[in-house]
Amino acid sequence: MINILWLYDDLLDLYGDSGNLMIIKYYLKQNGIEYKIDKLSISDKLDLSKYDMIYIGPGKIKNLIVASQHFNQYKQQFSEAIEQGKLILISGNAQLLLSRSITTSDNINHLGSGLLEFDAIDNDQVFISDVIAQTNTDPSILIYGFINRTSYILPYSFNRPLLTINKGLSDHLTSYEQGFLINNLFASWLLGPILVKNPQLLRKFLCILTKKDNLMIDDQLSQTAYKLTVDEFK
Amino acid sequence: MRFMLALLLAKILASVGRLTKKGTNLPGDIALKIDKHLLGKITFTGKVIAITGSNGKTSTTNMLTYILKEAGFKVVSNQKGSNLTGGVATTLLSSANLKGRVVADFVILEVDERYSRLIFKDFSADYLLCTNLFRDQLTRNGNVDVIINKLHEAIKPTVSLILNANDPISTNLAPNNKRVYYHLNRSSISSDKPTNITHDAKVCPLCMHRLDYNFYHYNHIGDYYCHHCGYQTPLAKYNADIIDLDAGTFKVNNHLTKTNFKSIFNIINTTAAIATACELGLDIDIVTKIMTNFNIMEQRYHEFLINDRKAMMILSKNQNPVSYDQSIDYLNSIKEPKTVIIVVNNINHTYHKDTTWLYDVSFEKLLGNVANIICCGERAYDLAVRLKLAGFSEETMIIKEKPQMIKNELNDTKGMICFLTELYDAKTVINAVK
Ligand SMILES: [Zn+2]
Repeated sequence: MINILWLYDDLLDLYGDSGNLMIIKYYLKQNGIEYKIDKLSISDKLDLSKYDMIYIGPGKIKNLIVASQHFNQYKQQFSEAIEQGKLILISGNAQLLLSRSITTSDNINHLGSGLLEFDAIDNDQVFISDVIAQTNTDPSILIYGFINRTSYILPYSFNRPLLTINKGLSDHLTSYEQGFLINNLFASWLLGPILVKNPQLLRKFLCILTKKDNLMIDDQLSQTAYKLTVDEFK
Repeated sequence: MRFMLALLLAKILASVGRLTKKGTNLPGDIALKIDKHLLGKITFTGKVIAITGSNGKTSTTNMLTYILKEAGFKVVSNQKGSNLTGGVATTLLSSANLKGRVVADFVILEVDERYSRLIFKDFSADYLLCTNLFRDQLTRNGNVDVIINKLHEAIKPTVSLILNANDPISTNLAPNNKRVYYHLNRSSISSDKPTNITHDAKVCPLCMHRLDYNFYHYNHIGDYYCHHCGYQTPLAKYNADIIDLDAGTFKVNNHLTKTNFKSIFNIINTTAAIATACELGLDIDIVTKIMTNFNIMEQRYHEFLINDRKAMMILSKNQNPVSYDQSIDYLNSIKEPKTVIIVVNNINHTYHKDTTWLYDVSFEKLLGNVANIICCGERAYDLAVRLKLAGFSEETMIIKEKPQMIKNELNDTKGMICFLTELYDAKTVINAVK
């Protein structure tokens, strides 16, 4: 039985967030693997040890601040989960939950969990960009993603970035690195159905999640969609 | 002096525009360049009613205008597509006299929610009706919170609000303003569980804890309560009960009325128009009787022929999942066999290749209701992947990026051809297959 936690599914629900778990469910089902998805939020007590995967999607900044107050109480559990190599996917501004602080556009500085050494600033300005990037988990995997954010992260470069950007923009015009890759924690500005858009990345996720590398994955359609998207950047 | 010049010029341009049937924003836009505060200089003999919201504002504006005119009042209202600042200025300037006074019992203005704060910068409505608030084009508009902030800037403390009690988001607008609510009670098709993927009120707008529902009408529209802080569906002054959905009959405060467009969405909007008319002093008995004669011209749905085969346009707005959800509900109400054509291109104007919004549309509801689906446009394969995850077999899907490639494939499909897409994209396909 695979246990998946969709954390803050209610608060952090910007758009298209169901896509990632939708495709994971699809292939688990196809391979006859039983699974359960729990949706927990700020009213709930967390026990992360029960889960094989944790997913957190992006949300409105007001909601993110509320989520972070809950998240901060579980800093120790998250730290352990990351160290133990639990599969964690964090998309869009949900990565700010890992920060030392979040400064909102009203100039209020909100204390973050400080799991990672960075700070975040939200300026209410919508920034969108397509991104083509290499993942540092496997540089042969070129991924397509979409950024729709109102915040940015300081400093601009990190020890363990998830992505090296080939096309598109990151937090800063001169930075070609983005996101965080620590053991099996995947976090970046990319949002929406990242795993649907990137079939190779999905295969990697399924492999980590199920600890099997012989799953039946009929992803020809996704491969074609992916190739057509990526080719448009050539 | 500037105002007089702006007024005269707008009047001349508007009358030329009427002759040439050109857009209605231009005269107002030009007049606003001459006098940017002109909207604050127009005076009214009657009441001004603004109608805004994410969905349904045009039809609600039409219904309210109809009720008031049929009841014998002089009414000024803006035409479809002129709900931005320039359009509102055109409407007001062309109906004002040479002293800048609009002589009418009621002025009804459909107002784009995103432009509301600009439109009401220099003047105010007496009443504001908000039909609902939903996520819409997140790459352009930002999220619902951004829209709420704009509306809060537009709503002056003196404005009386008419709000949809079934919508936990707009119910909470300008909480200190005077307000009345309208509400549709549970119907035979209400659901205990969410009916769609898009649900913009999963959390309580006051305390952010998970919001519970007694029932859902559609998306986040329903009857709700918060266990944590007590926020709940407010008591409504106007309550509607559906009598027979197939016949389009329903009661508002026990007064029978009827609509020819029999969707829950439209019945709630009709209730909104009735509630507003009553707030303006009309008798509910008269208002509900007038409404039974209103023939709604649903421009979103339109039947035609393609090479002697029956076809239907079901207009759907890109990046607006609720608009697609409503189109899907409408499509499912058509009982004959159907082939659906959906066009998904890169995002208009910006050309980003993102298709995230497709994961907010409840395509699952189409399962078992269509013979074939044709996926078309630059992102046809991304759409096909979404449909596959919704449960469609690859055999039911025809995937062609270019509209010209559909023509031959169409011969192998069955039933009425239904376009579930933007007007511009549908026209491209129709021209290619004719
Ligand atoms: Zn609450």
